[in-house]
Amino acid sequence: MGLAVGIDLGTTNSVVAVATPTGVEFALGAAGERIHPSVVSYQPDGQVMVGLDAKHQRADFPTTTIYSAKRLIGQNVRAPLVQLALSGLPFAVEEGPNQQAVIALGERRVTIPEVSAQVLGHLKACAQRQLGQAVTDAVITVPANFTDAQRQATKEAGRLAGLDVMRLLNEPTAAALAYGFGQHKDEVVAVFDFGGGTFDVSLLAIKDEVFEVLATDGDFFLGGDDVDRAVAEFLAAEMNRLLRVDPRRDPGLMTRLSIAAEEIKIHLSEVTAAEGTIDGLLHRGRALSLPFRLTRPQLDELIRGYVDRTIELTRNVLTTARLPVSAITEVVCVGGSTRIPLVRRRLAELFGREPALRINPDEVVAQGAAIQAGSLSGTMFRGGGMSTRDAVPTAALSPLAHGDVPWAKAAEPARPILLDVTPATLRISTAGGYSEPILEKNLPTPIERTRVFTTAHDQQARVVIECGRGEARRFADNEPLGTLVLEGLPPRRRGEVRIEVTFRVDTDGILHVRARDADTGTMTEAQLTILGAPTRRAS
Amino acid sequence: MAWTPTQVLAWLDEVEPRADGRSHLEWLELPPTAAPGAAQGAYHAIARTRHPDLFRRALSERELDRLTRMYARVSNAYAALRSADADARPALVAPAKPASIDPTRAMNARALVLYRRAEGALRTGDRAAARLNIKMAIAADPASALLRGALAELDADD
Repeated sequence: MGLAVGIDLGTTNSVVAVATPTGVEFALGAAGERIHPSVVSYQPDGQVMVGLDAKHQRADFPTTTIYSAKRLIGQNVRAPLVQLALSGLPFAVEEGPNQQAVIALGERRVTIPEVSAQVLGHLKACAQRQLGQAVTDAVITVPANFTDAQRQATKEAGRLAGLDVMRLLNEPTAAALAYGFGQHKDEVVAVFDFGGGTFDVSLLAIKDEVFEVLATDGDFFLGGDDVDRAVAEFLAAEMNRLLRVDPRRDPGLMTRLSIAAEEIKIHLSEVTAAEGTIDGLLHRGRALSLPFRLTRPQLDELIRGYVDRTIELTRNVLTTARLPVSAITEVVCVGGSTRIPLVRRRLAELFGREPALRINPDEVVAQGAAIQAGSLSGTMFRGGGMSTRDAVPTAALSPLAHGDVPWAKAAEPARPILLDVTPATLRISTAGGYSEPILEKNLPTPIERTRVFTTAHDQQARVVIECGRGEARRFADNEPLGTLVLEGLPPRRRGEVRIEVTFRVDTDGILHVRARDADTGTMTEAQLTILGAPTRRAS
Repeated sequence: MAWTPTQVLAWLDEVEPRADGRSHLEWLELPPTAAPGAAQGAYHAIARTRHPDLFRRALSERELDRLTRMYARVSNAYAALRSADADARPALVAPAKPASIDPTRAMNARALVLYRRAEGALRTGDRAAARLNIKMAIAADPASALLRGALAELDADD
């Protein structure tokens, strides 16, 4: 077996880390970058670029440079929110088998797990180069509110990249692990994870090495991308007003403005006003220049709605866990969007304290994943948690690669215990358009629950069980997961055939549904295939 | 401290045959007299000794699957007791000491009538009637956490 790494596979950026006998070490890219853009560029000559190199191709190859793939992974392409997200992307997305999103590159079709596998393969290569050893196993983090299809698709991406995915770990849980591992804490922390494309908030009780998620909530279509888009829309309106050119119909121009928007946003976290000119805006063969000025209060106004939503979800999660604000001993910020001053201010107002400062919001998730990877593979040492190695100089290899520091299995490996929860209610449809919850939101995982249902008609030989995810009583108001069909039931009067429906959520947060006729000796069993999931089951 | 694989396999052999008949308290290895709020400590103690993650390499895939399934039952029991604890344990499940919560304040009047009927049915051992009345009570007052806890207890005890 080779090394086990922890990977934070982000919407915008990814980070890879490994727990070593001397602490957690981050694997750098060719230019010395610790943070690897989650961008894959398919070049006309067939070459595939990944990471920082690929990000630089965005402006020149807007239709074949794929970013924010995480927003599409495991998604049902027909879902309204997905359609909305697609409207802002410069590359073409089509519907593939099982209602998956598939990217069209001319004649070629690439699935989203294939795109993510390119990113994972790049991270794996960086780690192998730096550590001088083969990387075979990984813990990959996912947003806490990721669905089953999204989890399955992420696992599939890992498999395609030649990695044994030991565990999918929820991002806020990973952050809490990095924060509290080896510290003998007795605390209740709030993890506020506002990343590039998703928002999660989790409350965790940390007692020694047990990390128990008390409640979690989130929104997987809310992140820094939305902030960038709000700023890009502002710039587009400015362009229309000042230059009489509407860039909103031109993917090339909008990509340029989005890139500028991200830079302006980051700049406004440091200073109170940004001013300048965006050059090289190609329109009808002419290169235009757009002057702009945006102040921090203006930015706050543009993004207030998004920030309000994160605070509202944070209040909800406190209510769910029945905890007063005063019970929270620390606020751990994760994700680049938590650097936005408005976000920090609103969090400080809510909790009456400043968020923990010693946490690096870009790296903490990968660090937690590395600790879990080390623990599961038995190479994590006690107390090896928070100390991260200094960045290694670009060209140099890790001392581990030279054999200066021996790799060894810990005699008594550290074993943090992570107790996570179900992110949403899982239910089935019942008569009259209603639904019945089988597993509610925020239950501890792994969990299994069986409910017994009966037939609705005499001589019914077949039942159709529709599964959904969400909090609405009316079935149609929930997100459809798929349909399970149970056939060959014995001919009986209605209500006399008992059907057991079992929902099981495993340690990766993946749902398994089974239905069987409880009475006949010949047990009819059926297994659910979830819509939007890769057609090859990734479990 | 984590158990040895031998201890885990012995535990599986013990709990699997009557997995469907164990009460929540039994799953959490708590005595019937356990105080509300004891569930979390009990759950953590079980997690520390036999969470499936601890045996990723020490057990075969099949054994790990068995462990995960039984551990999932423990999680289920914890979830039920935790939500019941939050409502100070409903009287319906016959706690060792009198329930500190007043059902008349935990639901509306229509639901209370049905809840009393359920209690009566339970005293005569008619669990089906008890469940039916609790379900009707929930329909009358969907917001009552006490009723939902009671139903979860009934479902789990059967």
